[in-house]
Amino acid sequence: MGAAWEVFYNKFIVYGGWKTVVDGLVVTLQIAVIGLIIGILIGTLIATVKVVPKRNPALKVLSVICDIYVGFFRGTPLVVQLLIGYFVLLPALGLRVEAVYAAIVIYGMNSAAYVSETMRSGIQAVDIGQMEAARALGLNYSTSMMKVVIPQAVKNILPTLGNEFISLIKETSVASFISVVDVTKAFRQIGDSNYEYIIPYLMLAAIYLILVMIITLGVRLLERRLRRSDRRS
Amino acid sequence: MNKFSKIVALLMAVCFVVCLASCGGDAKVKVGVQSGTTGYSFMAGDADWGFDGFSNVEVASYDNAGLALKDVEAGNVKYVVIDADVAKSLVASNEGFKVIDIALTTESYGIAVDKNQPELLEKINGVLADKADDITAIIDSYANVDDNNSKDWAGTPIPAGTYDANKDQLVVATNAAFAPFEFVVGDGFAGIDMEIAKLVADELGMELVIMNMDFEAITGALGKNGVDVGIAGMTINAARKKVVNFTDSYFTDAYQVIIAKADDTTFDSCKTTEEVLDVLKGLKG
Repeated sequence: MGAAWEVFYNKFIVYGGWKTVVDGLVVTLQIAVIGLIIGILIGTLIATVKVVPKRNPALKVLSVICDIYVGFFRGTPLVVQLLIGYFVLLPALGLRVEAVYAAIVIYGMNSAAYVSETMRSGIQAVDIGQMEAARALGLNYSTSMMKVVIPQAVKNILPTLGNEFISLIKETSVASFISVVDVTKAFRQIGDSNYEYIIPYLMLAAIYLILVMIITLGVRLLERRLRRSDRRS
Repeated sequence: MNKFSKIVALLMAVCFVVCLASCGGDAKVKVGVQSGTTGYSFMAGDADWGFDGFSNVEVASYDNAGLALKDVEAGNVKYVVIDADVAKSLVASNEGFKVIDIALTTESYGIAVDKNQPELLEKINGVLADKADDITAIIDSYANVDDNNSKDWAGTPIPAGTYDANKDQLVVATNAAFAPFEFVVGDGFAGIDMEIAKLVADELGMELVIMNMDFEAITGALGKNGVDVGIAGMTINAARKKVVNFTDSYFTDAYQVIIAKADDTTFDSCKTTEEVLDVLKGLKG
């Protein structure tokens, strides 16, 4: 272990490997955070389409498209989506996109599929009587949704959304398939340059663990704050 | 709730600042390489390997050089740096590229052997010496760039074999995306290295098992999970020698070159390594 530590120290401190790691960490967080924001935006749209009563054919068509979207992104591995997106789709469209931005968009679109399902089930879990009562009081559909149903749904959704963020962070570890240097790739490069893997890989695991623990703590605090108005607790 | 919307707003602001900060900075030339290769260390710089690197170059590493070339085609990366024979094979099977055939480095390939098996090293060195003519013939048989790529290759592939800890096997780790040295044909393998592996296994009376893995994983894989040797166009260098033994070199004419788009004229006037390196150092993104 002593020799392994010395090799790692040389790579990490003396030759400046920590800079790659810090850059990689920023990239990992970028992909996860912006990916989640994109996921929540698109996911909300999809969930809305899925939840509103289908009164006209346009909405029905839209709903089918959403089903296909969710089916594709949940039914194929993320690595495959990255490879198709970056090496097939973007060149076919003649677009030039930095690998990091391509990754952010693809992770966001993937996340949207999961977020939409979370939101849909969260909204549908709110008792139908809540909507009926709101409508009976004379609120229109969108106001009842925004002011009565969604605030309650958010409480259901939040823990799952936290899980989605956690899995997104962990899934960023495969972004190097399309040449993105995330924190995993940064440590792999350090390991690969001298074939001493013990410390880089353990440290990598520790970093992910710390990130996830911070998020878990954040979500827990947020949940506690939202529960403050609950009579049940 | 107000406090929380503030926190959310703050978080969003932070991530946008991070985003903007990463967009800025001076433009660098993007060069694609294969992960873990000499080309990667040469471009990125690595004190252990003895390369300074290029401050004006941003290195993008891929699982194999073919994917890097794909990204040159898409316009995300300007050049690819890879071993010369692989470059020629790649350019032969992909239209619209050319090899700047001026050596950036000088290297020779050897077979990496598990450090705990010095007797195996001796035996393989013996085969390499005894069968030098056969090895030259193998290398020559792949010399024609038009048919040394996986697309048009018409020989009989070497089967991968099945690993069995109880048998006397020579377990070879390789990265079969490195034509003409190793590539996949159907469910088997072909290439200079694979034929040499077959020759060595036959001479030693061992059964050949080929394990296809990421290139950067090979050196670390030796001695673990039954892997005995690595044959994958591996340059003999000091950094790798710390963890594996190398046989005598079987291929001494290896060097890194640049692959550019066919219409790229940047290196047209270059004749020597120094001139290429000077142009490379002066490039802007």
